[in-house]
Amino acid sequence: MPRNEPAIHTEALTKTYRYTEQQPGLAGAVKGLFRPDRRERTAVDKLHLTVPRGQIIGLLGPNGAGKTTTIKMLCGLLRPTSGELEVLGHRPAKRGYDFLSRISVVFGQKSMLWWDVSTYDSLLIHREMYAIPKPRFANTTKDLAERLQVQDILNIPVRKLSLGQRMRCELVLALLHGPELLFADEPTVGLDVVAKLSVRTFLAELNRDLGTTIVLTSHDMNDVAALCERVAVINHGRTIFDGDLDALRSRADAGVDADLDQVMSKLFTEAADA
Amino acid sequence: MRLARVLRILVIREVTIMLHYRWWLAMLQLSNIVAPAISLLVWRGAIAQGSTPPVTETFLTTYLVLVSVVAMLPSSWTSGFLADSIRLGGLSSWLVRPCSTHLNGIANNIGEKVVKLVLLVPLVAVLGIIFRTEVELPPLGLRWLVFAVSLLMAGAMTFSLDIVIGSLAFWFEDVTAVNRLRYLLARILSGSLIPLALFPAAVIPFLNAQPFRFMVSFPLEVLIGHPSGQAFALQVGWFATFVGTAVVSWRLGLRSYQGAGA
Amino acid sequence: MKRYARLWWSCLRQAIRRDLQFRSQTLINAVASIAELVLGLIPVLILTGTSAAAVAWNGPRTLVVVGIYGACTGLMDCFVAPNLRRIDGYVRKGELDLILIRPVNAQLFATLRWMEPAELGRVVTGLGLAVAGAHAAHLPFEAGLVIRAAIWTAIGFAGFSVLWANLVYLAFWFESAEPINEVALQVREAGRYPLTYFPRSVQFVLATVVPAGLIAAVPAKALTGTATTLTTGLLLLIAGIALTILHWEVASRRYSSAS
Ligand SMILES: Nc1ncnc2c1ncn2[C@@H]1O[C@H](COP(=O)(O)OP(=O)(O)OP(=O)(O)O)[C@@H](O)[C@H]1O
Ligand SMILES: [Mg+2]
Repeated sequence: MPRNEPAIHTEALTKTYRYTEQQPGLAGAVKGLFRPDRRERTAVDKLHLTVPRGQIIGLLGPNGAGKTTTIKMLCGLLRPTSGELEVLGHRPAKRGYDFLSRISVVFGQKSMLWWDVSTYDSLLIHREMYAIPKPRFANTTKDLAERLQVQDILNIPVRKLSLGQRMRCELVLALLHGPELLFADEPTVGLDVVAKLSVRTFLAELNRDLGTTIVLTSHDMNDVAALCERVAVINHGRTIFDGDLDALRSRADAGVDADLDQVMSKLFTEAADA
Repeated sequence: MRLARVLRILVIREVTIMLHYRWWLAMLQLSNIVAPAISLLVWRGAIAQGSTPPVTETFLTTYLVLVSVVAMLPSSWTSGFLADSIRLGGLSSWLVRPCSTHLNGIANNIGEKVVKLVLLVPLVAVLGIIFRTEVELPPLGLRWLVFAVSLLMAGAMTFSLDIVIGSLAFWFEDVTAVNRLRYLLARILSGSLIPLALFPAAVIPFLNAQPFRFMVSFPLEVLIGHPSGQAFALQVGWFATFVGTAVVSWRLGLRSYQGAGA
Repeated sequence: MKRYARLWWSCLRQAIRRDLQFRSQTLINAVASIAELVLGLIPVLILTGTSAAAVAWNGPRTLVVVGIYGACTGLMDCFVAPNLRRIDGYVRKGELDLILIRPVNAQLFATLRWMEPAELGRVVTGLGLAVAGAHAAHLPFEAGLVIRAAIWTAIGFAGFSVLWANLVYLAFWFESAEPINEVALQVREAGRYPLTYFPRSVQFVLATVVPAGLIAAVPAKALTGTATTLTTGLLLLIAGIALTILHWEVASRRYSSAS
């Protein structure tokens, strides 16, 4: 496949959640059985996004903007309601082996590690799942553990780790198979400054050394400023800005050293007024 | 090949985890053996006092001694876990891996069986020794092989049923009620309480045709009774139906998966 | 005493209010509870169907046993079981603290706090079955006999609850005592069958140490007029209750020293 083909390409990508409003009580339940109160909510609305290989892109937006939904579609968890979607030359929702073994996902809110065994045991399971040869497994594990400084905690049951320790172990697990594309949904949520910094440095090195494409969401503007060469700001499922940080500042009429939090908040309220 | 290796390592992990809960599982096994033991006591009491059931005393005793193991082996407890993972979004972690969540379900069931077997066999052996004069097992041979095949199919059927019930969580909030009903029905209709042959003659044709029979009673019939060739065909038929339904409902369900959770 | 009655009453009211809030769930549980009774009837009826004549017992009288069993276990599952099922959790998660700090008798409170009114559906159905069975079996209806049977059932109810409680208190001593509830439930099933079917030694056990037989089989016999003296039963029960209180005292002391 051509090397210059983009990692992610979407056209008018849309996701509409269907749900039924439930009235309280038995009468409501019975009524819901015959005449369900169906509602729809468009979480992602005709999103156009093209991400070239090797880029770190930050998806930003207020709570409920549709960032997680977008990521879930990009990694094949959710089927798009409409629109075109191609990731690494595959249609994600098919969840083929080749596709799944070239991507990886880290959710800050959800653990991929097995809870009651050690991280190393989880790594062994992934070794079989992704059919990683033994020497490569040993090398990668050693390298990742060093970069994230988790050599000493690899053998402790995950439930006994602190949040920051666990997050670093999550990253080791997620990157074990050497994915070309990493989705990181709020990977720094709840971490202290030290842990945050180490995750940040790690992601930057990963992109620099291995050329891994990274799609990042975070509410911490420092993460974004440190990592993302490009940001896409989403609100109500639509892109309201796409460009680099300087462009973002000038868009909000703010100086070069303006506080990014204020820039963002201005952008969101503007969008709400419009 | 890759899947076999994944399954192996998942089973190893499950066994290590379950060994932590061995006393918990042992106690659970004790409760599984109580019900057949009570049936055994009352039926033998009745026979001792002159009652004449439609099966021989040897068949009855052997059946009730073995039934707790044979009911345990093809059992499955996946539906609840599966429904929870769909409802709470834990399924997402599996969908982004190149490995089906059901492989994990299978591993979990196998691991549980390995540990339980170690605990249950001594209990059954004790029962067997108490009633040794009335227990009769066939010699090693073809019959045991057919028994094993039939047991595997039974396991696949219960697992498929679990997937179907678990998949309901793609569309409905709560599947515990369905599950409670399913276990109630299975308890009676699968023959895990008393042999189906003891039921009134009028309902026997129905009992012989319904799928729950093939989840517990039939493998045992293969081992210590004389089921007809037709019954084998029926098991294959039900097996295919269950597996097919599971595949279809899972595929349909995934389409409407909403991936709950932030 | 009055204070406890009022406390119990307010717990009951709270349970009913909760059940009314989750009505569909409650309805399904009530249906399942009754289905359990009806399906549980099947093996017993099959047994008596093939062997009634042999043991001088018959179908209608079996209905009486199963009916009383259903009603009595329904009461147990409504008022006692939900509490006993929670004891293990109290101990493991340290929630017993929240009970020990209340100005009430902790053991009593831990036994009466929770209720599942939905299980009461089985009490009504069970009593219906028992009355129908008694009618079909042409049992004489005498107030004296009925009272006697009721007292036996009460002894069985209390006796089995006491046994169950002692089993559950094992949670204070062992970590994984939770499935003991399942064991107790399964053993209770023995009470569904008329005692005559069991070997003599088992009959004795079911009437004393594991009083599942007192729940329904003995009361059903009492209804037919076959008199058995109540005094031994009562004495055993009192001894059992005393032991249980002692067990709680020792065990909960162990808990507070552990936490
Ligand atoms: N499973 C679901 N069913 C119905 N609606 C949903 C579901 N998941 C998300 N939504 C809705 O879709 C919208 C977008 O949600 P999404 O989780 O993508 O937001 P987000 O940008 O990740 O927000 P946050 O910053 O809070 O994580 C929200 O309005 C949310 O309520
Ligand atoms: Mg989100």
